[in-house]
Amino acid sequence: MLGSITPLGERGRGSRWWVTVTAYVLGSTLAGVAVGSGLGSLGSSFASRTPVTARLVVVALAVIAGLLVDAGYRGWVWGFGYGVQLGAGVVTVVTTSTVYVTWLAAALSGSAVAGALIGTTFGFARAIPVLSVAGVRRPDQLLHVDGVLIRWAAPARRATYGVGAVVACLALLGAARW
Amino acid sequence: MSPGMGSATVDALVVVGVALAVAAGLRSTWSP
Repeated sequence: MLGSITPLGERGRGSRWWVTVTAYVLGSTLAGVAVGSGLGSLGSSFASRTPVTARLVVVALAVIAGLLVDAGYRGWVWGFGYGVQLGAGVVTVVTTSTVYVTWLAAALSGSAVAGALIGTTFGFARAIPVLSVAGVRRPDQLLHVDGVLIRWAAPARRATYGVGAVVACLALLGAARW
Repeated sequence: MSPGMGSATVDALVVVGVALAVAAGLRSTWSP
């Protein structure tokens, strides 16, 4: 991070370092205020019913667990965290509007189980293509996969349009029937 | 809405939602 916000880099982007850094410090502090006050409010009812000792023990255990995680389990930590981010669908780059409509369908299903079924399908389908690179061991294999992905990009985009159209028709047919 | 009608609507929404989920999930492979 420190290497990415320097007077040298900002000059290259046509910006003034002190303006960027002032905005950066302000933004970071404001985000801290928002998250801290939000969590403080959320936890207030729990905290008011829990003795200080118990809360301190929870913090201590969390620190110890965090240190253990930092020390040697990075793979599953970042894998899980990245998976959660992608499975949520809308907290990273959204490639297709069908992501939003998927969550709309989950909301309109009106049931936790039905929504979970839709969400499970999305999260799994979002993640499972990663297995296609399971065999990549050398740089040339990675380039090959990259080439295949580039070739399939346009067909995948068209296929999504097609599936979207079919699903819209199905939904309208369903609406006509019920 | 009768219970049967609600259930059928949920079923239809699940089918539609699952189809969208597959398309959206796989298509997202091409996110930058």
